[in-house]
Amino acid sequence: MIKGESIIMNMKKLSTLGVMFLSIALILAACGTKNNESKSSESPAASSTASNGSGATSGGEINALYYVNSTLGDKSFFDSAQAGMDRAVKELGIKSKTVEGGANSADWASGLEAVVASKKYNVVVVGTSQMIDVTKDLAERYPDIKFIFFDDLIEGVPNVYSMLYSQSEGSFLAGAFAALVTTNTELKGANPDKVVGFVGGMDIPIINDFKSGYEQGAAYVDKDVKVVTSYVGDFVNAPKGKELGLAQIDSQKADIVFGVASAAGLGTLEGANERGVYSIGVDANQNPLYPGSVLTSMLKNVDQSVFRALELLAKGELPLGSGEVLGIKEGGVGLAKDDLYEKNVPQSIRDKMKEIEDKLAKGEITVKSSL
Amino acid sequence: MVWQTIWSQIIDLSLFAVLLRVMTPILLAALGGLISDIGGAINIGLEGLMLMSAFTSIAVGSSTGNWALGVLAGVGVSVLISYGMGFFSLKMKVDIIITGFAVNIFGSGFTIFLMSKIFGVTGNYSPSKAAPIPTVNIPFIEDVPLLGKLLSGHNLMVWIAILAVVFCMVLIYRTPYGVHLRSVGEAPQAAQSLGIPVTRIQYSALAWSGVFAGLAGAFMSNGLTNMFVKDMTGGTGFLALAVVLLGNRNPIGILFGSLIFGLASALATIVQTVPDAPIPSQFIQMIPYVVTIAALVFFAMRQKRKLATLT
Repeated sequence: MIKGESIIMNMKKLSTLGVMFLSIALILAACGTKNNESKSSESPAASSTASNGSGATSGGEINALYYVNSTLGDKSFFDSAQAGMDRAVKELGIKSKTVEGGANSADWASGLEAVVASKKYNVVVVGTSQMIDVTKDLAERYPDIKFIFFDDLIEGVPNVYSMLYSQSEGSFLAGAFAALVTTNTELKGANPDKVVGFVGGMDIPIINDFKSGYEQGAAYVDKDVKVVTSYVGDFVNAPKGKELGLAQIDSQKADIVFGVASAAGLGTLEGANERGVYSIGVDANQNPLYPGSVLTSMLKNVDQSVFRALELLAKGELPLGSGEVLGIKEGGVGLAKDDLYEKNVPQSIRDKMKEIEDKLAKGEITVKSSL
Repeated sequence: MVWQTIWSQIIDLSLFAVLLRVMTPILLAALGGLISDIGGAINIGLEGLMLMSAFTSIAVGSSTGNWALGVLAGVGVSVLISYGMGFFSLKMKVDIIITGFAVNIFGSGFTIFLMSKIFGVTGNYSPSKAAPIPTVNIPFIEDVPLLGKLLSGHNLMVWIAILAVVFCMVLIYRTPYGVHLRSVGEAPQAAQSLGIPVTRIQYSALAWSGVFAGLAGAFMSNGLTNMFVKDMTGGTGFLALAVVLLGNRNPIGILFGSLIFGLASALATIVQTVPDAPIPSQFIQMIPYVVTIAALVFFAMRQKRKLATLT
């Protein structure tokens, strides 16, 4: 932090200084409870300070900053983006640095502005819908810096490229998978009732987009499959997530549930495991949690998409100023197919899934987003 | 369709099982809140104590393979923090509400910190070999059609919670300690003048609240589920404080208060899973809270009428 401060000292803008001091004060205050704030994990390549303030990327080298508006170690979203950055460093030879913003959302705007204003980086990678306004504002004020934004769309700002993962397409796969499982006769835990479950975190648009895709997928496989939906009301109450899952299994005879409720969804998976039926994980590969019960997980491939964006940028082909929805075709979403998937899912279902994925990639099936 | 489902759940008693599961942590935590409340040292840190206990009990339980050790460790940690609360509020004269808030924030942050330091995970910890609190299957009775489902197959902690109600009844109303506790809560100066050690009694009241909050927390991580998720108590500690008032500050009332809330939650769970339910999910999620408020109003009105007839 001391190093960062001295660099800022040299800058002319007093306002930046003020912002920096404020952010330091906030970060220090936040350090009281958790001392993992603004720890910067520096990749070896970034240690030599490249101070080409020009910011020209065409032909020039990429010096990227990844701002985490939380902390690394979530085993999901942010770690996945970090993996994409690491791969870009290795394969594209770019320079990169990661700054962790910590849990306090009040720090994020000033924290990101401080690193952007230092003009040490010509590319900024940042994500999640909570950062939209901050990113838009900064992009307009620092037009020579390129922004790569993931997990939501920002359109009409010439130096921002944004990408959104099509959770409806991913959930379509999950829904088709669930319908195949519930109509399957080989699987021990599957019952004759054509009912599949969905446990969402909250009744909000993004979760309902998952739900809508899931329903479309289930209906594609079999029109008679009924989808039972419940919402936990938050994303942390694992006991409640479990209770809802159990209710779907016991009272509605669901034999596979899709838990889209972050940590609370883990309770749902546990409930399915206890009753000897099946479940689908989300966000990260949750197949190893309850092997044989969690048959697959729906993933957002943040790492691949971040790498892809950086690769396009290096080639000078990145469509800056626009936003893209990454679906199956672009590899933005998909199901987790590890050894456990191969082992526990019958061949017939795996073949059928491959067929559906191909059709989605070719555009023979279109999934409607509810957003 | 909705009524039909609810009815079939009542008939086969699965609603009853859900009700008991949902009720238990609230009941235990509320009993903890009750004793500290009666002793005049109201403990609003129940949520934080539960989180600490939930984490400790699953961590110790899964690493030793013994659920009893896990529960004991969880309760121990909870009591220890309660003593810490006592030190700050009774000795150092920090406002007890602020101390309680501090414990809540501490519990949330420190469990996340420990989780990442000890197990290297963030967000949630699910041990591969958990040692869950066992369910009690009563021989012979479990084979009797109706009675079996009514009495057998419940988690041990459900029974402990019901026994705890009896225990609190005896402790508060039938022992010298209970008399001291109540007098300290009602009029500390008067109690002091009679030679009752006020501070020591309040320390012990906080410790009792630690015991019950600890049991509640251990049940959430080690009985209801077999995992720890950050902030997994999800407001149960605060709900318990409301139940203390709903239960008119006595153990039997608290049992009924928890039953009302548990029943409403269990119903909400079942209604939610009915496909194509005509009611928006937000309304269903409101049921437990609306019922609690309605019950509070009802009891308050009855109380008022009772007072009016007395005068």
